[in-house]
Amino acid sequence: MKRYNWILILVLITGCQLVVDFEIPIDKPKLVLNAILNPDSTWNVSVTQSRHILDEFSAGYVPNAVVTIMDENDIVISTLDQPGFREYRSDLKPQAGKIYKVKVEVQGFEPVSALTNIPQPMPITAVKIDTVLNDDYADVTAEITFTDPPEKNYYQLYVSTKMIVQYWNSNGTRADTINYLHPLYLYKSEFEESTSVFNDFKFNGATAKIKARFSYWTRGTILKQQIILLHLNEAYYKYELTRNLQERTTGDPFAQPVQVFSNITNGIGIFAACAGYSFELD
Amino acid sequence: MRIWLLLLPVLSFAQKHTINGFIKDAESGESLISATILNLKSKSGATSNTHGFYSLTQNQDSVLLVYSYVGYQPQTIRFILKSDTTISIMLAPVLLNEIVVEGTRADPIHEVTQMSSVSIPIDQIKALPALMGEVDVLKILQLIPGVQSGNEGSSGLYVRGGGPDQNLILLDGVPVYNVAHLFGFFSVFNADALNHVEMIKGGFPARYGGRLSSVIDINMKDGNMKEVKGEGSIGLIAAKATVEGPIQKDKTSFLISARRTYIDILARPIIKSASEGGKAGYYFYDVNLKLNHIINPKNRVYASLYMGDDKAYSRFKDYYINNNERTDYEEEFGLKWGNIITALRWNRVLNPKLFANLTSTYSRYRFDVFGDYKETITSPTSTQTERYKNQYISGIEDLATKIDFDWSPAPNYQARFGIHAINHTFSPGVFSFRTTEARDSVVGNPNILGNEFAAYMENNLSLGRSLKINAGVHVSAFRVEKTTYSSFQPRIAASYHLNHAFTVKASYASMVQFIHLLTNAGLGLPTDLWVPATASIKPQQANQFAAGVAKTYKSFEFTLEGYYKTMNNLIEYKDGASYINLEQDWQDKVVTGGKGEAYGIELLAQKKKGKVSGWVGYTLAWNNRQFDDLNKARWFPYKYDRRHDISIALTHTWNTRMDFSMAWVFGTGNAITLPTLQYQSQNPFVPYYTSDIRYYESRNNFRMKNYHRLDLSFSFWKDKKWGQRKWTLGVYNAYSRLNPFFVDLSYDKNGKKKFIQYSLFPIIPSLTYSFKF
Repeated sequence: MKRYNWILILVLITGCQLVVDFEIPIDKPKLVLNAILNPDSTWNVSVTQSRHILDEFSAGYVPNAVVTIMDENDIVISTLDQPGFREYRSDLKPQAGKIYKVKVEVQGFEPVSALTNIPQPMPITAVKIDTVLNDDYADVTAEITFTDPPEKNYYQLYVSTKMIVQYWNSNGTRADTINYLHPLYLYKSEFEESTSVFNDFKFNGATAKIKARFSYWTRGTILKQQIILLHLNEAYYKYELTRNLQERTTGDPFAQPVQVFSNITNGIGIFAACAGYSFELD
Repeated sequence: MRIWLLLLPVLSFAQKHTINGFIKDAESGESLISATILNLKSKSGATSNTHGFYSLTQNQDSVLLVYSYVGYQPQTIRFILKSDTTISIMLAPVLLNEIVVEGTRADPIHEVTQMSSVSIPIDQIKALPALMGEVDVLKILQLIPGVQSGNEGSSGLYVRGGGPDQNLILLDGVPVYNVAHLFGFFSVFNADALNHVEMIKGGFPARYGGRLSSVIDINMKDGNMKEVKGEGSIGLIAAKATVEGPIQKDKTSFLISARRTYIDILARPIIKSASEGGKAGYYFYDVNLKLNHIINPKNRVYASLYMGDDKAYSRFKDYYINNNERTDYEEEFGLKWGNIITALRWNRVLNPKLFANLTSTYSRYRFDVFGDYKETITSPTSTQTERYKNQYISGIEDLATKIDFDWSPAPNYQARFGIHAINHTFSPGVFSFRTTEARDSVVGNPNILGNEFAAYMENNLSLGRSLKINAGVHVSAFRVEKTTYSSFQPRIAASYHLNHAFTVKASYASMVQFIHLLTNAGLGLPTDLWVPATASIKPQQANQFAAGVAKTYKSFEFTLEGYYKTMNNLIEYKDGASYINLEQDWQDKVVTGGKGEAYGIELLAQKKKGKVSGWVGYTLAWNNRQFDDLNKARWFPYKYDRRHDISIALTHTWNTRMDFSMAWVFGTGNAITLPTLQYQSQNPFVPYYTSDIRYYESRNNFRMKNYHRLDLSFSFWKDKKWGQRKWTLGVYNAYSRLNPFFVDLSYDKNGKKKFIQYSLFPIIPSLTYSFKF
């Protein structure tokens, strides 16, 4: 429907379009804490700082942060190391069903903190596939079945493909094994438009049958293909929903700007979690 | 019960008789609305209603009546009132330019009980400068304190903190839903066809209902009963003509007025050559028709019609040849929107004290986006045609009937009462498409039916010489989708004369609105969607308190008013909601239960007589909103929260051949939501891809630059054998201020990231030729 935006263009050409600069004051940067926890992965918290909106460079690196992980009773579980550029890590893994708190202290900033719960993986009970083969790609409609627990739940679907592809370059033919992972977009009318996250509003506490669609290149040989059902906690769902919405509407003069969800006290970013279940396709 | 006690007429026991009749223009027979009849002996009086009818009940005694109206010579009649008497008066206009633009009403401002009300003579509207020379009633109303203009060039009205959907805009008593031509730059009202314009911002009389923030009551001319007259103009973008006259002298009259823009016709050759044979363009037109017939002195009927459309279109046709096959293709795309408004009215003087007006109306607003693609492939052996058509339609359609009564039973008491019934059909967006193979398919929101009923009782009381009260109640009900909403809306306005030229006024009004407007651009775009209150979306509701003083000093009038308004059950699009998303129910796109708070002070200093006339207005205002699901449930400034608003509108007449007018406006910049920071996003499954998130501290966290603009207009008149001609030279935005239209995050010519403010209109001169015969 973007083509209806030509209405604005008409409005603009009806009058004259004159352009002048608009100044935005420089505010103090905020500490950015980003972590999406997963019981299958070790602790990994990204600490950066925000930049002025007109800043061209990604200069958000924050060294020497003290990142402390606590349980819901504020008992320290681990203090994370900083082996990477901006990541603070530990060899421990968060456990499904637990609640964790993170606290980040950096000189020159107020300490920031956040709380999140780790959801349980949600098993897929069946996947029904309907494939339409085209010239060099396949269109797949997948019906994914799982049982939704009674409370409010949030999900996201991914497809993971491992395949051998052949390609040609100046040195001749070459074959490589590649892995790619991308979100599965749902049939639009069923859930929020153009997003792969969804809630259980329409099937709460019952057996869910979700239809999703994806395509893949047929010139390669598929070694393994999986549907992954991520069980998200509420914070991750809200973050994904608003982040996608902001990405999609940025530049649309008819849309209200979208504030991306954040649950970081005294800072910005996201501290959330998900748990995945993989279902291998035949 | 207390209210009803207050409404009881104050009766005296002396024998009383009623003087009634119509007040008209002596030259045209046109009804004079809000003309004043004052008995100088008893110091009591009345005003004519929207049909020119008046009724004044007085004690049996000698009476000295003065009939007066702005721009007309007053008439005085003295007689002994012994029985009910009918006197219809024809007032003669003062010769043009002997009286210069006069102010708002016949009564001095301190004599009027109604507060927060302004009526502007059509001549004054025509005298003030206009964008591209095209006179616009609504743009003149934007110069009144407490009324804001929204975006650059827009005809939208934001009254005392309300939105553009909260204005009850009536044309001959029929609500007009979309008042915008040319994406809001012009209004649908053709000033040549109008007789009277009145705006009420607060202290609403009980006869009005259905909107929260203002009433703009616009009456079309009835048509000249005496002789055929005409006027017209040719301007920068549009031409218009109006003809009116008697079908049967003093019995039946007609008026027809038409206007059309001609940018599309002028630009057609250029567009055709630029697009290699394609066509594109935009135009609007409107037509006003009115018939008026006096059956006898007690009965009169009117029929009126307004019809107008805007259309923007592009057509393209071409062909190509490939492998011995010729493909011809033809594409048309466009959008069209417009109103049809019709009214049938019957006035009857039931008795000297009681006047009835029965009105039946039909109105329709429709917005239509259409696309049509046709492709014909011709090969040596066959011809194949493919066609795809799609259409998106939204709108609202009303059928209404109402009966209103004016009753004047006592010298110090007049009442108005009536009932209204409206049947609404809302079309919140239906999309249909057709292909060569497939049958018609329709998706989107189905029509919603709603029935609205209202009844009112309004009482004007004079308690002694100093205290006047207008008190009443408006009750209404709305039934939609098996849900019924009802409302009880008390209204009261009082004025107390401290001395002969100084009055204190106060008012309270409760208002309920059963329909909402979904809009997220604020540009007056035709995509704005009218939707009803439903089971899940409650009606809007407002309470407004206002108090003020009015003072007359020589030819100056001063008013100072303060107001405080609360609004409930407001709706707004959710963050990021798209204005056309056919697969989603409109009710899922909005956040509901919003609250609004607006308060401020308005000062108006007005000079009504003399060579220089006009007004200076100043508004100091606050306007905030709160939604549980927006801005972390915190209050935020409304987009049109404008702290300071100044308007100066002046007209100077040098002589009978030349006049000059100017308007200067200043307003605090509109609120806008801009990001201040950016930070990296997080996606554990695609770790190599991190996009930047824009961080918005809060909704409407910035102000655009202040808005100010000076418009000038010079008119030169000349009498001709056939009538009169006028050249008007206008200058819009005389010092070419780059006023903000919107701000966008973009890149400049050097590739540097910047916030860029876009402005619409620099200085725009215009030249208009007008004539009158």
